[in-house]
Amino acid sequence: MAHRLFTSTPLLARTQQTLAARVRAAVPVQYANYVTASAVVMAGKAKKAAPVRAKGQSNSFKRKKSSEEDSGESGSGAAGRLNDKYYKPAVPVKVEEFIPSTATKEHVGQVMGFPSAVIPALSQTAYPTLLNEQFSLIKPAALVVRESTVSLLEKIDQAMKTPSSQSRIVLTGEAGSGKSATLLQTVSHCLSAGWVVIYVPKASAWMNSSFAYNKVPNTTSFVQPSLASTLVGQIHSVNKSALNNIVTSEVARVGRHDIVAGTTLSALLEIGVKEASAAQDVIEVFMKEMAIQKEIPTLIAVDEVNSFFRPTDYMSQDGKELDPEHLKLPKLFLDYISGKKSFDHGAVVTATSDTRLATKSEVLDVALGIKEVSPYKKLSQSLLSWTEGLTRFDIPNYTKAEAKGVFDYYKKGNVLYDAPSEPLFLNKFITSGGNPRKFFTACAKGI
Amino acid sequence: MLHLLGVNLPDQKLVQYALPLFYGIGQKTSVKILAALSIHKSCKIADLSEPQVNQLSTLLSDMKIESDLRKQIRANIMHHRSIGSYVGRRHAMGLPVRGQNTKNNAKTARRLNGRWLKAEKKEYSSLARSIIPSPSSPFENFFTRKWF
Repeated sequence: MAHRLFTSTPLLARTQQTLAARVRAAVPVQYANYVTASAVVMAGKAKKAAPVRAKGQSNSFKRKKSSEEDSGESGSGAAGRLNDKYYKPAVPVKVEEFIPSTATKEHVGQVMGFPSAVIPALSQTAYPTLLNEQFSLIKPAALVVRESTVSLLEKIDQAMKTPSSQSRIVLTGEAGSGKSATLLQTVSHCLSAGWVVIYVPKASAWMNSSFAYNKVPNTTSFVQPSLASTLVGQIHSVNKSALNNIVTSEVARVGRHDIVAGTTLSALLEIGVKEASAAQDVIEVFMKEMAIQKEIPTLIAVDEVNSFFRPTDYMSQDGKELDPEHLKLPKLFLDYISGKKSFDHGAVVTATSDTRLATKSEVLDVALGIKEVSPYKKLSQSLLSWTEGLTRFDIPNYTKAEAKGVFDYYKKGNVLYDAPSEPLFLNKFITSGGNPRKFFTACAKGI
Repeated sequence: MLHLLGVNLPDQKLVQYALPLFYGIGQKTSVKILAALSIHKSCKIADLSEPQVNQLSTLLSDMKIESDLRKQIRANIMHHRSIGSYVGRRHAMGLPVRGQNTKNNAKTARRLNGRWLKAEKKEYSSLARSIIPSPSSPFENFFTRKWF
């Protein structure tokens, strides 16, 4: 018996063999693949012996440096990293650029990315919140060209030479039907075409008491200096090249500065960025100058415009809720949205937000014909007066062709939860009813 | 940490929820103060500027809060006690004052009702001690021993 045990081991001195080798040698050959209790114990001991610390290195917990590349590739979830069990690794999809020549009926159903010239401008203002989730899953950010996009952009192109009071459009539709996305495409189109664009992705943040406000003495109006300064900075960074060529036409007083005629608008905006107290005056002068000049058309694009037509969360000194017309910056925008002031060349395109019920505006819904109320119901007449002449533009759900294009895009981007196939597409399209947001969650999350 | 009129207001707290830390200011008065000073609702204590802090302290010192309010409440209850009214007697006994039943359920009154007078008693007792003769006086034994 003894000789059988020792045939597998070399005849070396005991000290030259490692402990593991001796353990292995003690196991008979026919049982070599079996796990013995002693082998497990040895393995455990071996693991414990493994981390050898250098002299002087502390044993205490060290925070791991999060690699920036990882968080850039994966989505921007709460943990900054997508759960591997639910999300497949991101695959960048090659898409054509959405330039004005591609906004035609032939391209309906194709998913197109924002042009590289436009992306730095769009990144200044941040995408609408819920669209951001989709853009973070598939890179680069891209949207499908829809029939409603093409017809809206045709209207915008016609509006290029007409005053903005004639083209005041409100995009309406059910929650998740693609209003913010269509507005983003309009902004991209106008930026590519060389317009000056003032894009406000989240108007509700202006009214929900998140920015400081001060009363203007001897009036009932209030100023929001930090908000005005932020907006001035955004306009400046989005439209840098266009604003260098436009100059002011008359002398103006902005805060404590005097602006001579002939200052470039970008220099004017820089004053507003540096001094928050002057920012409101700066933006008023800026809008006046843009309204007068005829070379470059101006687009005002406001998302969540329903917050402009309901009482704000700010309070007057008596403790009563303020209407948007009492805040100087929203009132300036309301003047252009309602047509009381107008750009000589330009358009005003706005979109409602039907996702958050708390910010819905009954006045706007009644004025646009979306909702009907009893004739005895008292609606705020002051708010109603701002809604005159607004054109309603409905954004419907996806048609089958558009949904197919989006489905192919998700397939290429490796975002689909289940295996892609024609029956799966039909399943997702029918169960979501063609609603873009529901279609996305159905495809990406299998809900 | 902003120290204002005897109360510490933590920097990271919203002003709307820090003001009720003062005795005498609740949710409604806090909102009224914010409206009067044009402070937005998401403003934190750390975001307040120097002029705003000065305005706030001026406004608060004009209001009746903290020790002034406590004195007023104590004075009102002491008035009832001193005129010998039913209300005063109930406060002294620590029982319900406003005609509630005491057969059952007078727990809150029994726990809370005497506290304004206990504070007064402490003050009186310190006064009383001053007329008791000190141990070193010659007639101390005469006054302090129990005769009957």
